Amino acid sequence: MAILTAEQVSFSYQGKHETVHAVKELSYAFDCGELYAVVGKSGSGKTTLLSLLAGLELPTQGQVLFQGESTAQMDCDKYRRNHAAVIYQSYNLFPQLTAEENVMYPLLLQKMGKQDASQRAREAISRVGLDSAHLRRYPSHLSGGEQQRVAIARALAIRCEVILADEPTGNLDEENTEKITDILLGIAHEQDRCVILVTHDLSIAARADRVLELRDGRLQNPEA
Amino acid sequence: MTALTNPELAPALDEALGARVRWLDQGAFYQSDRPLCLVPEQLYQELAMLQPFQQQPVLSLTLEDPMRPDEGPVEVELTVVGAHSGDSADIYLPWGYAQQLMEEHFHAVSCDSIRFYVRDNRKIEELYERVKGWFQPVDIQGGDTLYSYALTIYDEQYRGTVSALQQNIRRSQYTIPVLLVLVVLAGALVSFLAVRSARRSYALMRVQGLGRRGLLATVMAELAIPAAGGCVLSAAVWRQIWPLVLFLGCYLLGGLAAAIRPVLERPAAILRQQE
Repeated sequence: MAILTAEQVSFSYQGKHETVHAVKELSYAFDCGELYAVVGKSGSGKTTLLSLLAGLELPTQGQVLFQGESTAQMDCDKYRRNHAAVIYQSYNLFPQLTAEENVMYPLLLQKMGKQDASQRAREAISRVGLDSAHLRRYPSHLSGGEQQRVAIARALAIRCEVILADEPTGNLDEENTEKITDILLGIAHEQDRCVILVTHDLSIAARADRVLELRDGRLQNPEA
Repeated sequence: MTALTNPELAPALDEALGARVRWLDQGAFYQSDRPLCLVPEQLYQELAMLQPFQQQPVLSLTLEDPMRPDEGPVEVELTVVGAHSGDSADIYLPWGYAQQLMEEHFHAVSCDSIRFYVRDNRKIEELYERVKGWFQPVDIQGGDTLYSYALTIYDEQYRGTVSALQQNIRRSQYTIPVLLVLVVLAGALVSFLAVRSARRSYALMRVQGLGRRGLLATVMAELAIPAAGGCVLSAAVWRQIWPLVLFLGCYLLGGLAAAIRPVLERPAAILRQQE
Protein backbone atom coordinates (compact mmCIF):
# COMPACT_ATOMS: atom_id res chain seq x y z
CA MET A 1 0.00 0.00 0.00
CA ALA A 2 1.24 3.50 -0.83
CA ILE A 3 2.26 5.54 2.16
CA LEU A 4 0.58 8.69 0.85
CA THR A 5 -2.24 8.85 -1.67
CA ALA A 6 -4.05 11.73 -3.33
CA GLU A 7 -7.52 10.75 -4.59
CA GLN A 8 -9.19 13.19 -6.96
CA VAL A 9 -7.83 16.04 -4.89
CA SER A 10 -8.94 19.55 -5.78
CA PHE A 11 -8.22 22.76 -3.92
CA SER A 12 -9.76 26.16 -4.53
CA TYR A 13 -9.56 29.42 -2.63
CA GLN A 14 -11.01 32.88 -2.95
CA GLY A 15 -8.55 35.24 -4.53
CA LYS A 16 -8.90 39.03 -4.64
CA HIS A 17 -11.20 39.11 -7.62
CA GLU A 18 -12.03 35.49 -8.43
CA THR A 19 -11.94 31.91 -7.22
CA VAL A 20 -8.57 30.27 -7.82
CA HIS A 21 -8.53 26.55 -8.59
CA ALA A 22 -4.98 25.71 -7.53
CA VAL A 23 -5.22 21.92 -7.84
CA LYS A 24 -7.70 20.07 -10.02
CA GLU A 25 -8.68 16.43 -9.61
CA LEU A 26 -5.20 15.16 -8.86
CA SER A 27 -4.74 11.49 -8.12
CA TYR A 28 -1.40 9.91 -7.29
CA ALA A 29 0.12 7.36 -4.93
CA PHE A 30 3.49 7.95 -3.23
CA ASP A 31 5.61 5.09 -1.92
CA CYS A 32 8.46 4.89 0.57
CA GLY A 33 11.97 4.44 -0.79
CA GLU A 34 11.51 6.87 -3.68
CA LEU A 35 12.26 10.50 -4.40
CA TYR A 36 9.49 12.27 -6.30
CA ALA A 37 10.15 15.55 -8.10
CA VAL A 38 7.16 17.81 -8.72
CA VAL A 39 7.86 20.28 -11.52
CA GLY A 40 5.87 22.95 -13.30
CA LYS A 41 5.69 26.67 -13.96
CA SER A 42 5.06 29.19 -11.23
CA GLY A 43 1.40 29.08 -10.21
CA SER A 44 0.89 25.54 -11.43
CA GLY A 45 -0.08 24.34 -7.98
CA LYS A 46 3.13 22.66 -6.79
CA THR A 47 3.34 24.37 -3.41
CA THR A 48 -0.38 23.95 -2.86
CA LEU A 49 -0.04 20.22 -3.55
CA LEU A 50 2.73 20.04 -0.97
CA SER A 51 0.57 21.86 1.58
CA LEU A 52 -2.24 19.39 0.93
CA LEU A 53 0.08 16.41 1.35
CA ALA A 54 1.44 17.94 4.59
CA GLY A 55 -2.03 18.45 6.03
CA LEU A 56 -1.53 22.21 6.15
CA GLU A 57 -4.58 22.57 3.92
CA LEU A 58 -7.53 20.29 3.43
CA PRO A 59 -8.78 19.53 -0.09
CA THR A 60 -12.00 21.20 -1.15
CA GLN A 61 -12.74 17.99 -3.02
CA GLY A 62 -11.28 14.51 -2.85
CA GLN A 63 -9.00 13.34 -0.07
CA VAL A 64 -5.41 12.84 0.93
CA LEU A 65 -4.74 9.52 2.63
CA PHE A 66 -1.79 8.73 4.87
CA GLN A 67 -1.55 5.00 5.46
CA GLY A 68 -5.19 4.76 4.40
CA GLU A 69 -6.43 7.46 6.78
CA SER A 70 -7.80 10.70 5.41
CA THR A 71 -6.15 13.93 6.53
CA ALA A 72 -9.62 15.39 6.87
CA GLN A 73 -10.37 12.86 9.61
CA MET A 74 -7.06 12.90 11.46
CA ASP A 75 -5.31 15.33 13.78
CA CYS A 76 -3.07 17.04 11.21
CA ASP A 77 -0.89 18.60 13.91
CA LYS A 78 -0.12 15.11 15.20
CA TYR A 79 0.42 13.91 11.61
CA ARG A 80 3.08 16.57 11.10
CA ARG A 81 4.62 15.95 14.51
CA ASN A 82 5.14 12.26 13.90
CA HIS A 83 4.83 11.34 10.24
CA ALA A 84 5.49 14.23 7.89
CA ALA A 85 8.14 16.94 7.82
CA VAL A 86 8.28 20.00 5.62
CA ILE A 87 11.45 21.68 4.36
CA TYR A 88 11.26 25.13 2.81
CA GLN A 89 13.32 27.12 0.36
CA SER A 90 14.12 29.74 3.00
CA TYR A 91 15.10 27.10 5.60
CA ASN A 92 12.63 28.47 8.19
CA LEU A 93 14.76 27.86 11.23
CA PHE A 94 13.93 29.60 14.51
CA PRO A 95 16.47 32.45 14.67
CA GLN A 96 16.52 32.54 18.46
CA LEU A 97 17.46 28.83 18.76
CA THR A 98 20.80 27.17 18.04
CA ALA A 99 21.12 24.52 15.34
CA GLU A 100 20.82 21.77 17.93
CA GLU A 101 17.77 23.40 19.53
CA ASN A 102 16.10 23.82 16.16
CA VAL A 103 16.43 20.09 15.51
CA MET A 104 15.29 19.29 19.06
CA TYR A 105 12.13 21.38 18.81
CA PRO A 106 9.87 18.86 17.00
CA LEU A 107 11.21 16.10 19.25
CA LEU A 108 10.17 18.08 22.32
CA LEU A 109 6.74 18.46 20.73
CA GLN A 110 6.67 14.65 20.64
CA LYS A 111 7.13 14.83 24.43
CA MET A 112 10.62 13.32 24.22
CA GLY A 113 12.94 13.97 27.15
CA LYS A 114 15.48 16.76 26.71
CA GLN A 115 18.50 14.47 26.90
CA ASP A 116 17.09 11.95 24.41
CA ALA A 117 16.08 14.77 22.11
CA SER A 118 19.57 16.25 22.28
CA GLN A 119 21.13 12.87 21.50
CA ARG A 120 18.89 12.30 18.52
CA ALA A 121 19.44 15.83 17.27
CA ARG A 122 23.20 15.34 17.32
CA GLU A 123 22.85 12.11 15.35
CA ALA A 124 20.65 13.77 12.74
CA ILE A 125 22.99 16.75 12.39
CA SER A 126 25.99 14.50 11.88
CA ARG A 127 24.05 12.49 9.30
CA VAL A 128 23.61 15.57 7.13
CA GLY A 129 27.34 16.20 7.17
CA LEU A 130 27.62 18.85 9.89
CA ASP A 131 30.00 18.48 12.79
CA SER A 132 29.61 19.26 16.46
CA ALA A 133 30.97 22.77 15.97
CA HIS A 134 27.69 23.67 14.28
CA LEU A 135 25.52 22.53 17.16
CA ARG A 136 25.78 25.69 19.23
CA ARG A 137 25.63 28.14 16.33
CA TYR A 138 22.62 30.28 15.62
CA PRO A 139 21.16 30.27 12.09
CA SER A 140 22.56 33.73 11.44
CA HIS A 141 26.03 32.24 11.85
CA LEU A 142 25.44 29.41 9.38
CA SER A 143 25.72 29.48 5.59
CA GLY A 144 22.68 28.83 3.41
CA GLY A 145 23.76 25.28 2.74
CA GLU A 146 24.36 24.63 6.42
CA GLN A 147 20.98 26.05 7.35
CA GLN A 148 19.24 23.83 4.83
CA ARG A 149 21.08 20.84 6.22
CA VAL A 150 19.89 21.73 9.70
CA ALA A 151 16.35 21.90 8.29
CA ILE A 152 16.81 18.44 6.77
CA ALA A 153 18.28 17.16 10.05
CA ARG A 154 15.14 18.45 11.79
CA ALA A 155 13.07 16.32 9.40
CA LEU A 156 15.34 13.30 9.88
CA ALA A 157 15.29 13.53 13.66
CA ILE A 158 11.56 12.89 14.00
CA ARG A 159 11.99 9.69 11.89
CA CYS A 160 8.96 10.53 9.83
CA GLU A 161 7.86 8.48 6.87
CA VAL A 162 7.24 11.43 4.56
CA ILE A 163 9.51 14.38 3.82
CA LEU A 164 8.07 17.23 1.76
CA ALA A 165 10.56 19.75 0.42
CA ASP A 166 9.49 22.96 -1.29
CA GLU A 167 12.35 24.21 -3.46
CA PRO A 168 14.99 23.23 -0.89
CA THR A 169 17.84 24.27 -3.15
CA GLY A 170 16.23 27.45 -4.47
CA ASN A 171 18.58 29.74 -2.49
CA LEU A 172 21.72 27.62 -2.80
CA ASP A 173 24.66 27.59 -5.16
CA GLU A 174 25.42 24.69 -7.46
CA GLU A 175 27.73 22.90 -5.06
CA ASN A 176 25.31 23.03 -2.16
CA THR A 177 22.43 22.11 -4.45
CA GLU A 178 24.28 18.96 -5.38
CA LYS A 179 25.02 18.12 -1.75
CA ILE A 180 21.45 18.68 -0.59
CA THR A 181 20.09 16.60 -3.44
CA ASP A 182 22.50 13.81 -2.48
CA ILE A 183 21.31 13.95 1.10
CA LEU A 184 17.64 13.78 0.07
CA LEU A 185 18.32 10.90 -2.28
CA GLY A 186 20.14 9.12 0.52
CA ILE A 187 17.20 9.62 2.84
CA ALA A 188 14.78 8.23 0.27
CA HIS A 189 16.79 5.22 -0.76
CA GLU A 190 18.83 4.28 2.27
CA GLN A 191 16.33 5.13 4.96
CA ASP A 192 13.29 4.07 2.97
CA ARG A 193 11.45 7.35 3.26
CA CYS A 194 9.02 8.97 0.87
CA VAL A 195 10.63 12.23 -0.27
CA ILE A 196 8.53 14.61 -2.36
CA LEU A 197 10.48 17.51 -3.77
CA VAL A 198 9.09 20.59 -5.51
CA THR A 199 11.67 22.09 -7.81
CA HIS A 200 12.26 24.34 -10.81
CA ASP A 201 15.66 22.77 -11.30
CA LEU A 202 15.50 20.18 -14.07
CA SER A 203 18.86 18.74 -13.06
CA ILE A 204 17.39 17.73 -9.74
CA ALA A 205 14.28 16.40 -11.43
CA ALA A 206 16.51 14.30 -13.63
CA ARG A 207 17.96 12.58 -10.57
CA ALA A 208 14.54 11.84 -9.06
CA ASP A 209 12.96 8.40 -9.20
CA ARG A 210 9.66 9.81 -10.41
CA VAL A 211 8.75 13.17 -11.93
CA LEU A 212 5.29 14.71 -11.68
CA GLU A 213 4.53 17.62 -13.94
CA LEU A 214 1.80 20.02 -12.97
CA ARG A 215 0.24 22.38 -15.39
CA ASP A 216 -2.54 24.71 -14.33
CA GLY A 217 -3.25 22.52 -11.31
CA ARG A 218 -3.53 19.28 -13.24
CA LEU A 219 -1.13 16.35 -13.26
CA GLN A 220 0.25 15.87 -16.72
CA ASN A 221 1.74 12.39 -16.52
CA PRO A 222 -0.22 10.39 -13.98
CA GLU A 223 1.16 6.92 -13.36
CA ALA A 224 -1.16 5.92 -10.53
CA MET B 1 -29.93 78.86 91.21
CA THR B 2 -26.84 80.74 90.22
CA ALA B 3 -23.28 80.28 91.48
CA LEU B 4 -21.04 83.33 91.63
CA THR B 5 -17.45 84.29 92.40
CA ASN B 6 -18.23 88.00 92.77
CA PRO B 7 -21.37 90.22 92.77
CA GLU B 8 -20.40 92.03 89.58
CA LEU B 9 -21.39 88.97 87.65
CA ALA B 10 -25.02 89.34 88.78
CA PRO B 11 -26.50 92.82 88.26
CA ALA B 12 -29.20 91.98 90.81
CA LEU B 13 -26.53 91.86 93.54
CA ASP B 14 -24.29 94.64 92.36
CA GLU B 15 -24.75 97.46 94.83
CA ALA B 16 -22.99 99.80 92.44
CA LEU B 17 -25.95 99.31 90.14
CA GLY B 18 -28.42 100.05 92.89
CA ALA B 19 -29.04 96.52 94.13
CA ARG B 20 -29.87 96.05 97.81
CA VAL B 21 -28.50 93.10 99.78
CA ARG B 22 -29.22 92.56 103.44
CA TRP B 23 -26.47 90.38 104.88
CA LEU B 24 -27.11 88.29 107.93
CA ASP B 25 -23.53 87.06 107.82
CA GLN B 26 -21.55 88.27 104.84
CA GLY B 27 -18.21 86.74 105.76
CA ALA B 28 -16.45 85.72 102.62
CA PHE B 29 -19.62 84.56 100.90
CA TYR B 30 -18.35 84.63 97.32
CA GLN B 31 -15.10 82.71 98.10
CA SER B 32 -16.73 80.23 100.48
CA ASP B 33 -17.13 76.53 99.83
CA ARG B 34 -19.78 76.08 102.57
CA PRO B 35 -23.49 75.45 101.87
CA LEU B 36 -24.63 79.08 101.98
CA CYS B 37 -27.07 81.02 99.91
CA LEU B 38 -28.55 84.44 99.19
CA VAL B 39 -32.30 84.35 98.69
CA PRO B 40 -34.86 86.84 97.45
CA GLU B 41 -36.27 88.99 100.27
CA GLN B 42 -39.74 87.47 99.91
CA LEU B 43 -38.40 83.94 100.31
CA TYR B 44 -36.37 85.05 103.33
CA GLN B 45 -39.50 86.41 105.01
CA GLU B 46 -41.28 83.10 104.44
CA LEU B 47 -38.36 81.13 105.86
CA ALA B 48 -38.05 83.43 108.84
CA MET B 49 -41.73 82.85 109.65
CA LEU B 50 -41.27 79.09 109.39
CA GLN B 51 -38.07 79.10 111.45
CA PRO B 52 -38.58 81.95 113.96
CA PHE B 53 -35.87 80.79 116.31
CA GLN B 54 -33.18 80.52 113.70
CA GLN B 55 -30.96 83.54 113.31
CA GLN B 56 -30.02 82.22 109.92
CA PRO B 57 -32.80 80.12 108.41
CA VAL B 58 -32.02 76.96 106.53
CA LEU B 59 -33.30 76.44 103.03
CA SER B 60 -33.94 72.79 102.09
CA LEU B 61 -33.86 71.99 98.39
CA THR B 62 -34.45 68.91 96.31
CA LEU B 63 -32.37 69.01 93.19
CA GLU B 64 -32.79 66.87 90.10
CA ASP B 65 -30.79 66.73 86.86
CA PRO B 66 -33.30 66.78 83.99
CA MET B 67 -30.60 65.32 81.74
CA ARG B 68 -30.30 62.25 84.00
CA PRO B 69 -33.83 61.41 85.09
CA ASP B 70 -32.78 57.87 86.06
CA GLU B 71 -30.61 59.22 88.87
CA GLY B 72 -32.57 60.12 91.97
CA PRO B 73 -33.04 63.64 93.43
CA VAL B 74 -30.45 65.17 95.76
CA GLU B 75 -31.47 66.83 99.04
CA VAL B 76 -29.36 69.82 100.07
CA GLU B 77 -29.64 72.22 102.99
CA LEU B 78 -28.33 75.73 102.55
CA THR B 79 -27.84 78.33 105.30
CA VAL B 80 -29.34 81.66 104.34
CA VAL B 81 -26.75 84.39 104.92
CA GLY B 82 -28.55 87.21 103.17
CA ALA B 83 -31.54 88.43 101.24
CA HIS B 84 -31.61 90.49 98.06
CA SER B 85 -34.40 92.64 96.81
CA GLY B 86 -34.96 93.59 93.24
CA ASP B 87 -36.14 92.01 90.00
CA SER B 88 -34.21 88.77 90.37
CA ALA B 89 -35.84 85.72 91.92
CA ASP B 90 -32.62 83.65 91.80
CA ILE B 91 -31.03 81.86 94.72
CA TYR B 92 -27.32 82.60 94.73
CA LEU B 93 -24.65 80.16 95.89
CA PRO B 94 -20.91 80.57 96.38
CA TRP B 95 -19.06 79.26 93.39
CA GLY B 96 -16.83 76.96 95.41
CA TYR B 97 -19.78 75.18 97.08
CA ALA B 98 -21.69 74.96 93.81
CA GLN B 99 -18.69 73.23 92.18
CA GLN B 100 -18.49 70.71 94.99
CA LEU B 101 -22.22 70.08 94.80
CA MET B 102 -22.12 69.54 91.06
CA GLU B 103 -19.10 67.27 91.21
CA GLU B 104 -20.36 65.15 94.09
CA HIS B 105 -23.95 64.70 93.05
CA PHE B 106 -24.22 65.57 89.36
CA HIS B 107 -20.84 64.43 87.98
CA ALA B 108 -20.26 67.86 86.56
CA VAL B 109 -16.92 69.58 86.30
CA SER B 110 -16.92 73.34 86.07
CA CYS B 111 -14.33 75.20 84.15
CA ASP B 112 -13.86 78.43 82.28
CA SER B 113 -13.17 76.81 78.97
CA ILE B 114 -12.93 73.41 77.41
CA ARG B 115 -10.53 72.45 74.73
CA PHE B 116 -10.36 68.96 73.40
CA TYR B 117 -9.31 66.98 70.38
CA VAL B 118 -11.37 64.29 68.83
CA ARG B 119 -9.08 61.35 68.22
CA ASP B 120 -11.31 59.61 65.76
CA ASN B 121 -12.69 62.00 63.17
CA ARG B 122 -15.30 59.46 62.21
CA LYS B 123 -16.99 60.12 65.56
CA ILE B 124 -17.58 63.84 64.95
CA GLU B 125 -21.27 63.30 64.20
CA GLU B 126 -21.65 61.21 67.34
CA LEU B 127 -20.01 64.02 69.31
CA TYR B 128 -22.50 66.50 67.87
CA GLU B 129 -25.39 64.33 68.95
CA ARG B 130 -24.14 63.92 72.49
CA VAL B 131 -23.10 67.49 73.24
CA LYS B 132 -26.23 69.14 71.91
CA GLY B 133 -27.93 67.95 75.10
CA TRP B 134 -25.45 69.99 77.08
CA PHE B 135 -24.47 72.92 74.92
CA GLN B 136 -26.27 75.46 72.84
CA PRO B 137 -25.32 75.70 69.19
CA VAL B 138 -23.77 78.98 68.19
CA ASP B 139 -26.76 80.48 66.41
CA ILE B 140 -29.79 82.66 67.14
CA GLN B 141 -32.24 79.76 67.10
CA GLY B 142 -30.78 78.14 70.16
CA GLY B 143 -31.05 74.44 70.91
CA ASP B 144 -32.94 71.92 72.95
CA THR B 145 -30.81 72.01 76.06
CA LEU B 146 -31.58 73.82 79.29
CA TYR B 147 -27.99 74.84 79.67
CA SER B 148 -26.81 78.21 78.53
CA TYR B 149 -23.25 77.56 77.39
CA ALA B 150 -22.38 77.27 73.75
CA LEU B 151 -19.91 74.96 72.11
CA THR B 152 -18.22 75.59 68.83
CA ILE B 153 -16.47 72.67 67.19
CA TYR B 154 -13.73 73.74 64.82
CA ASP B 155 -14.14 71.07 62.21
CA GLU B 156 -14.15 73.13 59.06
CA GLN B 157 -10.78 71.85 57.93
CA TYR B 158 -11.74 68.27 58.71
CA ARG B 159 -15.05 68.58 56.89
CA GLY B 160 -13.39 70.23 53.96
CA THR B 161 -10.83 67.45 53.74
CA VAL B 162 -13.46 64.74 54.12
CA SER B 163 -15.62 66.38 51.50
CA ALA B 164 -12.72 66.51 49.07
CA LEU B 165 -11.88 62.87 49.80
CA GLN B 166 -15.47 61.82 49.28
CA GLN B 167 -15.53 63.64 45.97
CA ASN B 168 -12.36 61.86 44.89
CA ILE B 169 -13.79 58.52 45.93
CA ARG B 170 -16.92 59.18 43.90
CA ARG B 171 -14.79 60.14 40.90
CA SER B 172 -12.71 56.97 41.30
CA GLN B 173 -15.82 54.86 41.20
CA TYR B 174 -16.51 56.16 37.70
CA THR B 175 -12.88 56.30 36.66
CA ILE B 176 -11.85 52.77 37.62
CA PRO B 177 -14.05 50.95 35.08
CA VAL B 178 -12.80 53.30 32.37
CA LEU B 179 -9.20 52.61 33.38
CA LEU B 180 -9.76 48.87 33.27
CA VAL B 181 -11.17 49.12 29.77
CA LEU B 182 -8.14 51.18 28.74
CA VAL B 183 -5.85 48.52 30.20
CA VAL B 184 -7.65 45.86 28.18
CA LEU B 185 -7.22 47.95 25.03
CA ALA B 186 -3.57 48.65 25.82
CA GLY B 187 -3.00 44.94 26.37
CA ALA B 188 -4.66 44.17 23.06
CA LEU B 189 -2.60 46.78 21.20
CA VAL B 190 0.75 45.82 22.71
CA SER B 191 0.00 42.14 22.23
CA PHE B 192 -1.15 42.69 18.67
CA LEU B 193 2.16 44.38 17.82
CA ALA B 194 4.19 41.69 19.61
CA VAL B 195 2.28 38.86 17.96
CA ARG B 196 2.44 40.48 14.55
CA SER B 197 6.23 40.53 14.61
CA ALA B 198 6.32 36.83 15.49
CA ARG B 199 3.73 35.55 12.98
CA ARG B 200 6.30 33.66 10.98
CA SER B 201 7.68 31.85 14.04
CA TYR B 202 4.18 30.90 15.11
CA ALA B 203 3.39 29.59 11.61
CA LEU B 204 6.58 27.56 11.72
CA MET B 205 5.60 26.08 15.08
CA ARG B 206 2.32 24.98 13.55
CA VAL B 207 4.13 23.40 10.60
CA GLN B 208 6.35 21.52 13.05
CA GLY B 209 3.25 20.04 14.60
CA LEU B 210 2.37 22.37 17.50
CA GLY B 211 -1.40 22.24 17.94
CA ARG B 212 -3.68 25.27 18.15
CA ARG B 213 -4.05 24.99 21.91
CA GLY B 214 -0.30 24.64 22.35
CA LEU B 215 0.29 27.70 20.19
CA LEU B 216 -2.25 29.73 22.17
CA ALA B 217 -0.52 28.70 25.40
CA THR B 218 2.86 29.63 23.93
CA VAL B 219 1.68 33.04 22.77
CA MET B 220 -0.06 33.80 26.06
CA ALA B 221 3.02 32.74 28.02
CA GLU B 222 5.18 35.08 25.92
CA LEU B 223 2.78 37.92 26.67
CA ALA B 224 2.18 37.07 30.31
CA ILE B 225 5.71 36.49 31.56
CA PRO B 226 7.07 40.02 31.05
CA ALA B 227 3.84 41.56 32.34
CA ALA B 228 3.81 39.29 35.37
CA GLY B 229 7.45 40.12 36.06
CA GLY B 230 6.60 43.81 36.00
CA CYS B 231 3.70 43.21 38.39
CA VAL B 232 5.90 41.32 40.84
CA LEU B 233 8.40 44.19 40.87
CA SER B 234 5.60 46.71 41.34
CA ALA B 235 4.12 44.63 44.16
CA ALA B 236 7.50 44.63 45.88
CA VAL B 237 7.74 48.42 45.61
CA TRP B 238 4.11 49.46 46.24
CA ARG B 239 3.09 46.53 48.44
CA GLN B 240 -0.24 46.26 46.64
CA ILE B 241 -1.24 42.89 45.23
CA TRP B 242 -4.90 42.87 44.24
CA PRO B 243 -4.85 46.00 42.06
CA LEU B 244 -1.88 44.50 40.20
CA VAL B 245 -3.64 41.17 39.81
CA LEU B 246 -6.60 43.03 38.35
CA PHE B 247 -4.34 44.98 36.02
CA LEU B 248 -2.60 41.78 34.87
CA GLY B 249 -5.93 40.09 34.26
CA CYS B 250 -7.22 42.97 32.15
CA TYR B 251 -3.93 43.20 30.25
CA LEU B 252 -4.01 39.48 29.45
CA LEU B 253 -7.63 39.70 28.42
CA GLY B 254 -6.57 42.21 25.81
CA GLY B 255 -3.63 39.98 24.97
CA LEU B 256 -5.93 37.02 24.44
CA ALA B 257 -7.81 38.93 21.79
CA ALA B 258 -4.53 39.45 19.93
CA ALA B 259 -3.32 35.89 20.53
CA ILE B 260 -6.35 34.34 18.86
CA ARG B 261 -5.26 35.56 15.43
CA PRO B 262 -2.09 33.46 14.90
CA VAL B 263 -3.96 30.42 16.22
CA LEU B 264 -6.63 30.77 13.57
CA GLU B 265 -4.35 31.74 10.69
CA ARG B 266 -3.29 29.22 8.06
CA PRO B 267 0.46 28.65 8.50
CA ALA B 268 1.03 27.74 4.88
CA ALA B 269 -0.38 31.07 3.75
CA ILE B 270 1.86 33.01 6.13
CA LEU B 271 5.02 31.17 5.14
CA ARG B 272 4.12 31.62 1.49
CA GLN B 273 3.79 35.37 2.00
CA GLN B 274 7.24 35.47 3.53
CA GLU B 275 8.72 33.46 0.67
